[in-house]
Parts: sequence; C-alpha cells; structure tokens
Amino acid sequence: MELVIDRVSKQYKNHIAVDRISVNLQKGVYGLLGENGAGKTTLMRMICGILKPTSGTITFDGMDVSEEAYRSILGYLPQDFGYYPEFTGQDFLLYMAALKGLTKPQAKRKTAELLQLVALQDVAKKKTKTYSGGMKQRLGIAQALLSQPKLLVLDEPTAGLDPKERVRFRDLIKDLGKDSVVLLSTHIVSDIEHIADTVLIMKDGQLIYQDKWDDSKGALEDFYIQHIDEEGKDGKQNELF
Amino acid sequence: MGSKMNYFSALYRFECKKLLGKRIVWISFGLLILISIFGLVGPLLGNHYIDGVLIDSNYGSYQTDKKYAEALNGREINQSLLEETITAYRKIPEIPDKHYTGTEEYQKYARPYSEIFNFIRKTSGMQTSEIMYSWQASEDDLYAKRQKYLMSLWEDMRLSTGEIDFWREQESQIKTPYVYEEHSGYQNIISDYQMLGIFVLLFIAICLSGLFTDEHTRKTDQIVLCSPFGKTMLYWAKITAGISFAAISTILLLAFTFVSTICLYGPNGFQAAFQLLFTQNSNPITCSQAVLIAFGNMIITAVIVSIIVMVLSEMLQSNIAALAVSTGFLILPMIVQIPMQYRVPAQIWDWLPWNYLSRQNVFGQYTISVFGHYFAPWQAVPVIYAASSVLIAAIGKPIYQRFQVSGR
Repeated sequence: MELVIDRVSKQYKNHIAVDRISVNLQKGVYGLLGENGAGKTTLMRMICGILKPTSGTITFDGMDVSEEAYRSILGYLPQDFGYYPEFTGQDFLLYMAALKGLTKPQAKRKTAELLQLVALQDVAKKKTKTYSGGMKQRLGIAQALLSQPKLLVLDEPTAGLDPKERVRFRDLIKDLGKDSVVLLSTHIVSDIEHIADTVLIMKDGQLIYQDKWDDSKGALEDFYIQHIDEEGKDGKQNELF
Repeated sequence: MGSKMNYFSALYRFECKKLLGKRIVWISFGLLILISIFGLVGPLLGNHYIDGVLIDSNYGSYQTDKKYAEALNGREINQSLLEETITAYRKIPEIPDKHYTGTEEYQKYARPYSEIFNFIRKTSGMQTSEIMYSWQASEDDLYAKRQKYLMSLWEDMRLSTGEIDFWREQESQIKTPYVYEEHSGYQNIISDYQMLGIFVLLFIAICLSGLFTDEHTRKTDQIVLCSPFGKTMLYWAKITAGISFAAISTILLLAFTFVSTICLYGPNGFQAAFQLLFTQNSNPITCSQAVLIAFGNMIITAVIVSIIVMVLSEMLQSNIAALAVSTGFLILPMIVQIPMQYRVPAQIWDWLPWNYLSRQNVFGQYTISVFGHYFAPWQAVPVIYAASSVLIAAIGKPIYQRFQVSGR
C-alpha cells in the first residue's frame, strides 16, 4: 500500500502553488503542517484528482490518480464544502454511498454504522440545513469513511468540533492509520502531535520537512514555529532530508 | 451491467430529489399553471362591446357563438352553405361609421353563420366588405382561391419543385369540401400554443440552470468529482434527471391545459379538418391530431432545451449566465425576423428550439428531403432535435469531467 507523489507541481499564471513535491506515503497517519497559502490544500486536491498537476504524477499501488479504480479507494474530507439542504443526513450518506459504488444493502448498513460513529443517529432524518457547523463536519467525516478507504485525505478534519469530539476523532483517525494511508492537514499542531506517525511541513509550495515524530523530539509546535521561521530567514529548502 | 444500472438509478433518484427539493421549481410551476389558466379563462372575462355599446359579457357572447356553431356541425362547407351564409350577410345594411356586427340584422340573420363567414375570409384572403357585398358565393372559387394563395406562398418561401409537389400531394389527401365542426377547444389550444411554449422553455431554463452549477456554488463538487461514479455516471444521471424533469413537467402542463380547455370549451372538433382552424395549411390532419403533434413537438423541444441549458450552465460556470442566455434566445425572435426569401437562414432560424414552438413553424411548409422523401417540420424537427440532444450532451461530458477545483 503506497501513495507515490512524483515531482508534482501546480503553477498558476505567476504563482507556483506546489513546487516539485516528491514523497512516498505508506500505511500510517501523516500530518501536514504549513502556513496559510503554503500549498497544503492544492496538494490535497491534486492527490484527490480534482485538480490536475501542471507536472508530475500521483499513483496509488500503481493506479493513476485519474482512474476510477483510484477514486474507489479514496476518502476525502475537503476543508470547506457545502451540503444539499434538501437532503437529510441519511440521504446525504446514501447519495455519497451510491457515488462511491456501494451496493444498496452495503450503503444502508454503512450509513447506519457511520451515523452512529459520528453521533448523528438521532438527527439522521433531519434536513442538513438544520445541522450546526460541528454536525456538518461530523457528517463530512462520515462520508469520507463510507467506502473504507485505503487512502484517506482529511483537510482540517477537526475544525468546528468541540474539544470532546476532537479527542474522539483524533483516536478514530489514529485507528484508521493502522490499515490505510491517512493524510491530514490542520492548523492545530497538537492534533498532529497526538496522532501523526510522520510530520510533513510545507512552505511556499515546497515540502521542507518530512520525518517521523515522537515525543522525545520535544514539542511539535515549538519545532514547527522554529522551522518555519528558519526557512523564512534562509529562504531556501531545509536540508534535513 | 445490472449493478451499474442500479447505481445509475440510485443517482438518478437523488438528482431528481435535489431538483424537486428546490422551492423555485414549485413556485415556477405554480406560475406556469396560473398562466395556463389565465390564457384559458382570460378571453371569457369582461364584456363584449361594439362601437362602445355593451352587447353581452364575453362569456355570454362565446356561448351564443358556440351554440350557432354547433348548429352547423356535420355540414359540408359547400355551395349550399356558402350561399346561405352570403344571403344572410347580404341582409346587413351598409351603415357608415357603424360596425356591421352591431346591427340587428347581423345578430338576427348573419351571426349564426359567422363561423363560415370567418372561414371564407381566412381561406380566400378577401376583405370583409368584398365578401359581404360583391363576392358571388362559389364553392369552386373559394377552394381555388385557397390553392392560388398557397401557390403564391410556396413561391415566396422559395420552396423547391420537389417540395411543392410534396405539398400538392398532401393537399390531395385533404377531403374537400370540408365538413364543419365546432372546434373552439382545439382552437384555443393551438392559439395559446406559442405563449405556452415560451413559458415552458423559460421554466426549464429557471429550474435546470442550477443542476450542475449548484455543485460548484455549494462546493460539493470536491467530494462528488473524487468519487468513483462522480465523473461519468453522475453526469449522465444529472442529464437524465434534467431531461425527464423537462419532459414530465411539460407533459403535466399540457395535460392540464388540454383537460381544462376541453372542460371549459367542450370536446367538439375531434375529427374536424385542421384547415378549419389553420386554413392556409396543407397538412392532411384533424384538429385532434394537430394538437397531439403540437404537444409531442413541445415535449421534444423541452428536452433539447433542457440539455442546452444544462450544458451551457456547466460551460459558463454560472446558472445566472445560462438563464440570461436562454432568456435572450427567447426574446430574440420577437425582435429579429429573417425574411422568407432567404430560404436557408430563414428555415434554420425558424427551426431553432427557441423559435420553433409556434403553429406557423410546427405546421410550416419548409421541409427536409432525405433520399427523395420529403418530411414536414413536425416530422423532421423531432428527429433533428433527438440527434442534436445526444450530440450536445456528449459535448458537455468532457466539459464537466475536466472541471478543476481551484482558487477557493
């Protein structure tokens, strides 16, 4: 199980959003850190096949990102996305299940399971327009998990969740990392500290740090701030790797 | 294959649910029904005045004319009936500055024949006064005048010899003299057809311009497009939902219009020759067949417009822009007319989906020739629209699939 990102770049007219990123990700949780505009979301969109790289390739176990087979092993939670106001929470998951190719019995079973998991079973038949921000975020997480993805891309998954829910979802993501490649980006450094096996740091479209992280290295937040600042001073790619 | 169909039908149902969940759809459909009712009841409201004098209510006047018309049911419009009509109209005195319908003689003698008189006027192209005071009633002359008018129309339209022969052959299938039947129900449907068509196409543009673009404005495209069936199957599910929505809503509206018209104006005229309500027309069909053909043509036009609107909205990435372009297309024919002598552009213009829905176009004289066989508009246009629909939908697919989520 391996996600191979090979010299991937994304260039807009006068701006390079992602600059020649190459990285191989195996089973585990990868925490992606970076300032606003560092290129995290652009990279994630390219990994999910909804944004075409200007150059480079993305494959998962040999499947190209443009293939239907690739999309069938993918679960994606975007940073900011809407819902269908006319759908109930249950409808939304059943609709997403149909899009992901789950059979009707599978879809029903998985929907019930996930609604339970994200604690929305009591409001399953209420329209999503009545949901709070946190409830919508939980529903988003549920849709990402529908097809038991081998590659799970989570852009700010804990945004909008209350502290108790955040802790619960951190544990859930950690569990998912045992069988899948999980890439998550967040501004909340402590989330990554608690669940990520490997930390990736992006700055100005480049991957400036990639390494395993453990508590012996100290506080990730301090390391991250120091690293970003150093990069800012040096203005060049870190040579840690 | 079977399971793929299951996924497709599940996605189709959800797309229909999204569409029917929109408040604008129900409000617009309600307005469409109201417009249909108004088109139906409007002519019967108010009063009937002649030279400023109240004669009757419009409804009362309609009832009187209908009763007279029904008295003529089953009669051939032949020499005998034409003579009766002219004799009755000759009893109307010439009074300067007074409309002839305001005279007692008209009400007493001529009005029972007003339907036949109107038929003579429309068929021959003669002025009212000419028919009333100088025309010698003649069955042969009346039908000959009609043929002469048709010939001159065909020449003005730059029809080819083959087309003229085709229409002559169609004419030969129309039995003359025509048998009169009261047909006010069918007349109302055909009269309101163009207005109804404009509102149906506007309704479709309003409801379907957001079917694709809503995914972008709601940002749901991100999760949809990275799903296994989000790029191809969903595209076709959306297109199918849009098409069936357009077709079913048009069928419902037409069914409502038909039933309410027949309830209000009566079912007479089922077997009447179409020429009784569209005299200068050469299609050998009855009024009921004409209504069926007109309805069928409206449904296929609604389908092609639905596809154009959906593809256009995805192409322009804006439902407002797609709606504006569609409305522009609807308004343009009211401003721009292509003269008949420019045969090819005039025919293309008349057959564009936004222009097509009028009795002059659906039952028009332009034809298409395939291997020496000529086809009337109502036969050819649905086939052209069906083929174009497939083509336009196929063009829209890569536009949808290539959409890039960026810059948010």
